[in-house]
Amino acid sequence: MSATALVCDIVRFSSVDGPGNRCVVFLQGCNFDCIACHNPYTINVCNNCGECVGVCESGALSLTASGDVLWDPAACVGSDSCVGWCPHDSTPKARHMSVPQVRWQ
Amino acid sequence: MSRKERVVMEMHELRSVGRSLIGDHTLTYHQRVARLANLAEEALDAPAVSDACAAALNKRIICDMFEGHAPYRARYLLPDYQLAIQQGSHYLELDAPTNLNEALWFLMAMYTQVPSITGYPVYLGDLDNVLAPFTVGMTVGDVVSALRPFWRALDRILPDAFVHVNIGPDDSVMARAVLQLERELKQVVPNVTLKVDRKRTPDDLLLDAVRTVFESGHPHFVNHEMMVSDLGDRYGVVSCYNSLPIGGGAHTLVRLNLAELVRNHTGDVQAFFDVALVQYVELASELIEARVRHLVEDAHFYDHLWLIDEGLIALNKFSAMFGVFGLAEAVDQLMLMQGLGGTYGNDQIANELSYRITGEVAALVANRPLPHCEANAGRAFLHSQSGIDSDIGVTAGTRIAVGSEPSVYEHIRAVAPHHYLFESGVSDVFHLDNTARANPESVVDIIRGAFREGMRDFTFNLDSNDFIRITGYLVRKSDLEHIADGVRHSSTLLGAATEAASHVTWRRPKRMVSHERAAAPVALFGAPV
Repeated sequence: MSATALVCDIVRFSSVDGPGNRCVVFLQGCNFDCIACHNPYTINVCNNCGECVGVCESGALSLTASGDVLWDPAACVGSDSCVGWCPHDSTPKARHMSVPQVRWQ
Repeated sequence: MSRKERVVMEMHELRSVGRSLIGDHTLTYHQRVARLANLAEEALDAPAVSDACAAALNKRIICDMFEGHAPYRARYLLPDYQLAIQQGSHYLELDAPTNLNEALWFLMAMYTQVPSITGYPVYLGDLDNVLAPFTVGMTVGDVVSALRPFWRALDRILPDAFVHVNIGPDDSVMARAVLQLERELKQVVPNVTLKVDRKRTPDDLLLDAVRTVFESGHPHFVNHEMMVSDLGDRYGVVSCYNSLPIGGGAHTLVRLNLAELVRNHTGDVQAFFDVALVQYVELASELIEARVRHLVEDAHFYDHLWLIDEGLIALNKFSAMFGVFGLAEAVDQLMLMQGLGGTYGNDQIANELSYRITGEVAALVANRPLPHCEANAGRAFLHSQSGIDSDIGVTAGTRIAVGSEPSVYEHIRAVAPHHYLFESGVSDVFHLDNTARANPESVVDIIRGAFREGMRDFTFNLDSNDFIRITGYLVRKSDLEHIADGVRHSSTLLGAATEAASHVTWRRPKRMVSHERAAAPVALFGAPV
């Protein structure tokens, strides 16, 4: 049983996060709330308000019976409409990952 | 002159084409002389081949690169300049040079006496090694001062971008001076390749080279360890990504148009592999054999060559080159035949199919003995041919179609599995966006990573300099604008035709800001709208 963390996204090739080419793991949730944040959708954890479900043009988002927002990566086209719409500085696409899962990616 | 037909010209047509060449004010005197010589060669009978081979050639399923009907000089020669410098030359009536200045003049004299298919030498040597004895104790600044007039003269005396210098894999004042001059002078000639070795090439040299590409489009990068394991440590990269043994070269290059082959194929995918591919690899090999025999046995090129007499090249270090191109269209078409829509470079099934095609071609070429090809144990070297000006609607070599290239990581992963097969060179051009300028280290990482993934050759360029890499050679955008008035570099004429036919300027730039989202206004102010 390994610990997991909420991962917003993994950027395989980043050339804007320091010298060289870096693989960057963006974690979801930040204690700061900087006004000029470059990735504001990483600030909060999704509160399942469901606002984004109707915005998704590819039908990749739905509400479960228990009222949680469910993201289907296979249907997602990566338009980030949900992220742009989110009233809560979050994303419906964050997922819990263990260290081995992140390394496998 | 039409390059479509292989029939021998009638005299009245020959006269008419000759007359129009003589009257073409956009060609320099030397460009006219070269074209008139080609025209004369076209008037001769081509080496005899079977009817099937001639038909394949007329349909352009196989292509002789329009080298000419009567091969009388090898396509690529890589003289051993190091040996020439050590022993001096009886033919050139020059003693072995004793200092850098003498060495540069020795080389310049020698370059003018080295033949090739283009009329200009396609290989100027591994200049850091060749000139190392004369730069002991010199600083980079000293070498730059000594080299600058020589470098300018190369571009003026040999105005053809297939003229190629090699440096690396070790760091040296000469390698640094070459890079500095490339940044400063921004010349089309010479084309430059940096050999990159995981251990021997320091990051700092690679970084210098990457910054040089930002300014001048040069150099091209090769995976030194992979080259050494295929060709031995005495190899050179010449013309457009053609890697061949030093002291030898390639008699000729014949290429197989995979796109056209699939277009003419009437059976299913299995029949393509079992019948069509087998048949046309043989027809291309037949053409190679006829052309090699003409060059060696009828034209006696190597019997009367000063480079042979002085031991600077040897016939047993030559082979022929078997090229392929149009893989992208071939794969996409074969996918459609199976009812699949995936395309090469963007779909795993399509990519697997592409590896199967090149793997089959490699196996067939490795099983076809050819005369006078001792450099590769009597077989042709396999080559991913990067295109010529008359190619329309067909992608160079094993590249992904221009405009369909995926992001850097996927691009490297898709094409790398082909590279080990092509010992005499393969090319993929990575078009990076300007963000790379702010982070050259990231490009160093990409090159190192690409070579670890099994890439043999790596070329990139940015939008923001004056250079476009056409096939493997470079032209300046500013020269293309004046093409109607004529240009000094013969290769720029080819580049203009290629740009018109293949839109190489439409290569999709890689977003270096990978998957980063632009901050939306809603986010900037921290409040939802």
